[in-house]
Amino acid sequence: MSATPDEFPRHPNAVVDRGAFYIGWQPRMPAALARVIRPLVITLVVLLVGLSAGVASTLRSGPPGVFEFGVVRDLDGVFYATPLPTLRLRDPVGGGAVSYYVVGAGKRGIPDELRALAGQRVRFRGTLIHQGGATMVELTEPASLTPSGPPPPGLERPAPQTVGERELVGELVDTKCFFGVMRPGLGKVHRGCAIRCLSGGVPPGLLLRHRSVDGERELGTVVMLVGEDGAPLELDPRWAALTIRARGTLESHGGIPVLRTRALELEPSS
Amino acid sequence: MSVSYTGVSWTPSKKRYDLVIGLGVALMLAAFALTGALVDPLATAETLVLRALSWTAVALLHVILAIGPLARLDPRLLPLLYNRRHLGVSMFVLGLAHAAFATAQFHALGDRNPLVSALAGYAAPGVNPRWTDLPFEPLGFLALVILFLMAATSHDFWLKLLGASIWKSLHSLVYVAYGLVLAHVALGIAQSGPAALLTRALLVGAACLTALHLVAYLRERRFDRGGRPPAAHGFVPVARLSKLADGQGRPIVVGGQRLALFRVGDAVHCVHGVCRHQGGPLGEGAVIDGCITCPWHGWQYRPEDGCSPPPFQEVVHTYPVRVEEDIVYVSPTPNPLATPAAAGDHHARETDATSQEGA
Ligand code: HEM
Ligand code: FES
Repeated sequence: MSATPDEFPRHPNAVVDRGAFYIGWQPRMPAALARVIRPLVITLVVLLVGLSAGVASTLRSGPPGVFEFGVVRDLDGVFYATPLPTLRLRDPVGGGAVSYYVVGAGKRGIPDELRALAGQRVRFRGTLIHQGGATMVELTEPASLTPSGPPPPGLERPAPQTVGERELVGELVDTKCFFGVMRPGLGKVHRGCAIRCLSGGVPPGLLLRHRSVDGERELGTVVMLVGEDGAPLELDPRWAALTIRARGTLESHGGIPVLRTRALELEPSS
Repeated sequence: MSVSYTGVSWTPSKKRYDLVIGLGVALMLAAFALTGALVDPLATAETLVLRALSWTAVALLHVILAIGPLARLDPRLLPLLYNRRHLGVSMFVLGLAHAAFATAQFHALGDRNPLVSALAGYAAPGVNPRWTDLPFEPLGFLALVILFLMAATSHDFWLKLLGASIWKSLHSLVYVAYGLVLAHVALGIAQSGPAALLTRALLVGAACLTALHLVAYLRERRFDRGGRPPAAHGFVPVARLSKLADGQGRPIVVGGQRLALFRVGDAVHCVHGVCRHQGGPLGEGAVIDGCITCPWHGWQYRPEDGCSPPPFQEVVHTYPVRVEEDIVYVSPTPNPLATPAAAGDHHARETDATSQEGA
């Protein structure tokens, strides 16, 4: 009766045939209403679940570094504090010796107890982080740190090779996260974490981006940044994840690029 | 409706609603985390959990914001609105879990308090050369504060305590929270290349929500502007009695105000059209157990005096009604609050506005 029009304006909702008037505190939803609500809710849930999978399938967590989280190894080698804290040890797979960079647990550089043992043989328990040719070890259990006397022969560091003067532009990263601890371990989303890591003493790195030879993929190379005199580089940790221009002497430390940095500035834009 | 805190009264409808929320959220989290782990085997569990939580929260926020205008556009969808606050609380819990994970993962185990680091870690002059470098975490934090206040005050106890208008303003801040979340994503992950689908989904979501709100608003506005001028006796003609269905409300506009007309048997009653609870349209309600019942959450008012039945204490204004020649007229001037009002009775040609009809 009320559906037939007359001269008075009707609110559009007053014309809809709802099947029945129903309030949630009533015991049963009328069948006519349930026929509308049920398929709608099912469609909505299916749609949202599908969209969840879709969005998840396009998000990536970062470059292919590995953090052997939960795997704690016994390490034994000679510790060098500068220019980057490094453990020189016998290659666990082949003959010869390898170098691992050393960082502290959490968002920290090495503790003072380790720094004090520069040039000595040390043992500790730690977790490996590796990406590309670089390996880092986290001093996961500081209590396990044991000084073990003078360095045995065969664990001297090879002399670095000078590549030349360079000016490099790239993203400032903290090398621990970048090598594989965090995903994402670079970029804007990770900036807050990178600031904490740099502030805590993790060595900074400069991520240089370039295209693969076929032009298909974007690759990244990290140049380790140290002070010109080989001491840890002084910088504002809040420059993390921003574009930085660095000048200095580029060296190769067993294949890993290290820049003895003379000047460092924030790129105003790009 | 009562002043004291009564806890949530569980009805079968609420239980079903919450079951669907729980199941839907679980399925979304699982679909996100499993797909993420499959396509990106190196992704850590923390990252998958962190992202699954935030995505599910922001998707639910869209659903929450869409239900309002959708139920305005089609009242058959009102059952979705009935228990919307549980959706809101679920969304807050997801957002909180995301924020807690993010703060722990990106800011803990360092040389500064994680919360300070997340909120002020890179806010300093000169360290953010472009506006896109500005920190995004504080925006998420502000959104979370708003969502917390809303979740904490979602019970009707707080609505009574704060008063309807403060409560409603507080809960309108959900739009601010939504804007903050969009900015949080725009200044954060949207700047990393592979987030394109997330960014696009949020853009489409924002466009849909804007369109829905706009369409619903324009429809209401057109109706609100359609009121008639008063007749010679000062009453405004609003309906034909013969077209009023017994027990079913009719929204009307009198003197620029939205009122609600009800025919109950031979009598016609008019009350103010805005529910005292959250402003629901009483004119779209119906009479249940002799009471005008709001279509949104079912608060009730007696047609005769606008008072909620005891023990409830809500009251809406009633308006004098008269019926002449099948035409129902309503006065733009309300009766004093909580007084039994005159109802237009079609046996009487003119009803004296002070008679105690239907008291
Ligand atoms: C203290 C509060 C918050 C902090 C510290 C925070 C932190 C973060 C971080 C670090 C990310 C990037 C994570 C990644 O991609 O790996 C992120 C992303 C995101 N956040 Fe938040 N967030 C907070 C609050 C919120 C709230 C309340 C919401 C919404 C309800 C939200 C929604 C999102 C969304 C949708 C993303 C993008 C998807 C993702 O990457 O997870 N956030 N947030
Ligand atoms: S608005 Fe909630 S019952 Fe009317």
